Amino acid sequence: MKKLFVLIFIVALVVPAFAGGAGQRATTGLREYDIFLGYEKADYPTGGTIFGDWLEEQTGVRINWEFNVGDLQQKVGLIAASGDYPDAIHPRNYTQILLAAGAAIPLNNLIESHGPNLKEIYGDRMEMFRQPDGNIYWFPQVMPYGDEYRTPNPGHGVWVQKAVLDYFDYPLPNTLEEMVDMLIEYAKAHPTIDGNKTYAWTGLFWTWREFPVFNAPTILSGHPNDAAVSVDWVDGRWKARAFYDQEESYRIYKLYNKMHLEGLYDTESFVMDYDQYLAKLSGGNILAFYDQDWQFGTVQNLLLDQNQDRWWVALPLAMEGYDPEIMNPPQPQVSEGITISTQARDPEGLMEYFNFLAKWDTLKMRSWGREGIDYMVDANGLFYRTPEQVAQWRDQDWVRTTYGADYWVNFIRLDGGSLFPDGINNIEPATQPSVFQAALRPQQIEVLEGYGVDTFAQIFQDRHPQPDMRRSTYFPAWTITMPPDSPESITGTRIGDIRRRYIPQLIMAPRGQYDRIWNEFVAEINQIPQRDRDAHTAFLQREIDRRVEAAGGY
Amino acid sequence: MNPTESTFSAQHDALAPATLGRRNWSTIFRNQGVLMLMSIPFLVHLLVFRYGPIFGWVMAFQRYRPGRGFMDQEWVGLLQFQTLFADATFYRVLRNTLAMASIKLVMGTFFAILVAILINETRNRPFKRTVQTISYLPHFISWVVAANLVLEVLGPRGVVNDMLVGLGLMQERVLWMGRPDLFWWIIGWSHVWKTAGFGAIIYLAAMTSIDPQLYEAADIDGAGRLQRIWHITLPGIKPVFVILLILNIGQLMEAGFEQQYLLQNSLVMDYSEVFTIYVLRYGLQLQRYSFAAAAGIFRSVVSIVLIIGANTVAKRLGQETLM
Amino acid sequence: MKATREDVVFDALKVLFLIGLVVVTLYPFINVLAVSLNEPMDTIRGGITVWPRQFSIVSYQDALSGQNMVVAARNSVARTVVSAILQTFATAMVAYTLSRREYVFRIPIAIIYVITMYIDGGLIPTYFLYRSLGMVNSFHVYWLPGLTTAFNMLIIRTYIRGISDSFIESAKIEGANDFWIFIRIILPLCVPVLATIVLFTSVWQWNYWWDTFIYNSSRVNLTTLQYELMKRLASANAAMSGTSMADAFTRALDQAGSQVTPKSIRAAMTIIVSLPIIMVYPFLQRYFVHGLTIGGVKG
Repeated sequence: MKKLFVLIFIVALVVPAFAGGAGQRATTGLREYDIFLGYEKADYPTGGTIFGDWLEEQTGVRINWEFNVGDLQQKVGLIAASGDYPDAIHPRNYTQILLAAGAAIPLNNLIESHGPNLKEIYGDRMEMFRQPDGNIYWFPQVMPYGDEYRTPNPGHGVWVQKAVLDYFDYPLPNTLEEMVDMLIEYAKAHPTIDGNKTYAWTGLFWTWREFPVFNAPTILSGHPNDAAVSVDWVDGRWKARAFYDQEESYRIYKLYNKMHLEGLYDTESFVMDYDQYLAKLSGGNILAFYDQDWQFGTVQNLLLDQNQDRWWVALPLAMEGYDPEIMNPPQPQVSEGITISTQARDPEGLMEYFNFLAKWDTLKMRSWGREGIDYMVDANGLFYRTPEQVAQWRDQDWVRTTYGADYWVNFIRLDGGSLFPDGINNIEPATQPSVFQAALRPQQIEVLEGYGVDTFAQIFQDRHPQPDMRRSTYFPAWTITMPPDSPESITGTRIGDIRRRYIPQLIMAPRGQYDRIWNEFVAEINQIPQRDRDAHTAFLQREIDRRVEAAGGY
Repeated sequence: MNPTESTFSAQHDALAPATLGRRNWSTIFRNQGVLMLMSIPFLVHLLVFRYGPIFGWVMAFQRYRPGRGFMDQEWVGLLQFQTLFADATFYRVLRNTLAMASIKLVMGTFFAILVAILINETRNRPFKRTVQTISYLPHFISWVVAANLVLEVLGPRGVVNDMLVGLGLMQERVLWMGRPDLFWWIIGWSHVWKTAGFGAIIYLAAMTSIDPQLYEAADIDGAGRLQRIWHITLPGIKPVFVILLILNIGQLMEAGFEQQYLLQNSLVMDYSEVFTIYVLRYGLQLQRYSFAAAAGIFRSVVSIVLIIGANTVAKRLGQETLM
Repeated sequence: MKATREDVVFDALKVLFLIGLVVVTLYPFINVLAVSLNEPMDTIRGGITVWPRQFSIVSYQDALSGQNMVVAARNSVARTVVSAILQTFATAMVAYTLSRREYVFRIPIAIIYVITMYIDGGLIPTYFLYRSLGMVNSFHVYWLPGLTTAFNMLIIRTYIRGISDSFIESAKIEGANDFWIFIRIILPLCVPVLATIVLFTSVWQWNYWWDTFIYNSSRVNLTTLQYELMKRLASANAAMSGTSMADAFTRALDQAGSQVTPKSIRAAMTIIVSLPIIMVYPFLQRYFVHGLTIGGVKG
């Protein structure tokens, strides 16, 4: 037992030793700021990276980063309530919580005195994130610049397998219904692919990743990704309209039901998790689906690397009677951003630092790198990358840990599809036509040639002029946050739950039963009082109007 | 411990408070001072650390907004509780929670004891140690990983369907995870799989306190294996079993969170949504902090009522109790 | 002992059941091991069972690539050892006092303990309290708040109650005080249950990361291994969640040439955190997995 006492005694001595070590910081001669960034980031050395060192040298500032790891809402709520603030906080979509707690200082005067570059990159759009009290409290993650927008990728759409496109010789049917008929025809001609049963369609319907099925009615009736409502240009205004019990919902799930009755809708998808979804897609036996590109990008790259025809091309398809205006306009992220806290030791210095980040040279350095090393400039002033540079910047490990700009991509940045003031170069290399071309694989070129276009986005633009830049005043409606603890937010969750229950039933309805199930669904929706549901849509409408107003009105 | 002894202790418990008044406090302090020194500092610690934060319960009677002090909030009386009890979803969620928690309690306890007994009955020591070590490995696998395995095993091309179709027991592959009538049982069995080995440890520890002479005596009497288990092993672990049972009955409002959240899908959501998920989705995610607090108080009250009930029943039956 | 027919049937069923148990409980672990050792991009295709398809240790390299791994491992070991010893000792001490039938405060204290299992003041009030006690940005938050816990206390107390009073009575007659009895008599007799509690506490402490996230996230020197691994996992999740991708740029950035996926990192993490516990396990196991012939304590 003596041993035990000795052990406890040692422990009692050791504990304070661990506790005492807090707060020691090497003096570097640099100005230091603590920033909490509500994003999840992998660790890499902040000192010793190309971009990090350059920035430190230019500004004399070192940032002590803290990134989010767990539940951000909890963390931000805690920071807000605690009153212990780092110098700057980026609470992401919980910025309002922080604001309500009075944790952020108004930046108006600081912008006037220390922020000429910020004023230049944001221009009039600065009004979009001015709050009702007349103050500006944060700088958004990303804002468009100027009126030009250029991107080679549509981002989302109806993804159809290249093999199917080959089979029909690169068709662009007028309606989604026609495409579905083609899928069915192809599936009947090829009942299995690599030994697996062919499915015409699938869709992830799991946790928050459920949007491929959940939002299909609005997207496939030809809308960009507003998700919560369909937003149309009606009588000179952006008008929000609930779609969940409307014709487009009825029709899209009936179309899916048609594939199901042919045995071609992948019903397993209703019980799949994300990993299984990716595994399924990588099997190559799924002909088409709706999704956003980042959700299955890893599989797409995997299949492209395998050099098969089983990867997918996004097509601008909408149900009959709708224009396929699907491409998302650039999205001014006005509802969230980085704040300077009331406990910042040196707000002026921090604002100077932010202002430096908004310099054109800094923006260029952050996205393109060093001229002559990471990119070249041709005689016309166009930036381009050599194949070696393209390959170097494809290596994510290198980009993250050696170049090291990753910690600075979540605030004070311009949309990659926007152009520098020179009007010819994209803010980000990935959207620059020459860099896009240089990175294409032969099979992708084959598809582009099949459609007679230069970029994948052009397939969309040839069908319908898009993206509609006017939408940039409010887009996207899904970032509208319902007021905390409000009846509108509860109504939204309730509607969602009813839809979640009925959508699989509708898609899997036995022959002749679809209308009965639809009527059940509508009846259940109607149990939520009309006035509550209207209030939900009306709130979204008010918020859209407010955003448009802030952006300069209609 | 034999039955007579525990009956005696129960009676003794019942008498204690009545006799207290007649005792002389100075004698008590003299006799029990060391016991007090050994327990009261920890009691104070507990009151500070565990009861201290309970002042946050005032939130349930407010419309709490973060960033203001607890006393600078709008007071709404019992509104949050009324909202909770008026919600039809709440009752469905309550049903699911109690059902799944009960299934998990019964199956989890049964298999933990079964595993402990079988390990205890094994004489081959390397085999015994190996089984014991391996059976507790799933404890280290997070539900995120475990849920994915469950989904794969029960998927249309999973091993369960392979076997049933291969053996000709079924014509077609079944979407097991899409069956509302099976969801509770899938939760129960996956719980057993993940916790039986870990749960067995407590019972194994309890079995070490059984007097080996009892087994020897039983052997001399010619008792069979099952008789030995029934008459010696099970009574030996009964106190621990009863205590765990009472504590777990108090936990019936806790059916889990991640397990259901990760295994559920829209086809079964009427049967899968438990209280914790409900509080998250209709409370915290909508920033209804006060509503969530009211739900928390409700859960605590139910738990305490359940545990008092279970403890009373145990006492009546002359079993080990919490007090 | 002669083997009766009952014995044979019993043993056969027993071995069958235990082997079945080993198969279903070992498979997931083997599967996770195989996934962790498979090339992450290849893992996306699914279908990994017990053996890696394309061997690679990149998941481990990536999971352990953080800057603070050494200090994190040190803190994790420290919090585990400190908590396992102090919490088990303190809990056992309280359990002993509450097992004494003559102790006047035994019932009120037991009630106060039991109730803690079912009440929770919520995050924000807890944070305020801990901050006022100096627990924020401090190593103490790892071991002090959970110094004694109701569940463990009740388990130990039940075990102590199973020990015959005669040991204590005779010591009392010799004039020993309760603390002495606790140290010299009770603790040695309770080794099996204490080993169990040490195991429970260690496993919990070793795996827990949420307190680091809430209370110590801004102090690198107080970070823990689980927290660092969670950080890497969260960033891998974010790369596949679109939350960090507001526009075409980051979308293109995150898609091209990523090396690892959440699934692979999670698998590597599972192995990394469970290995040390599994290695220490046999040392604790011998205290609660006995041969039938090894004695109990009750006389």
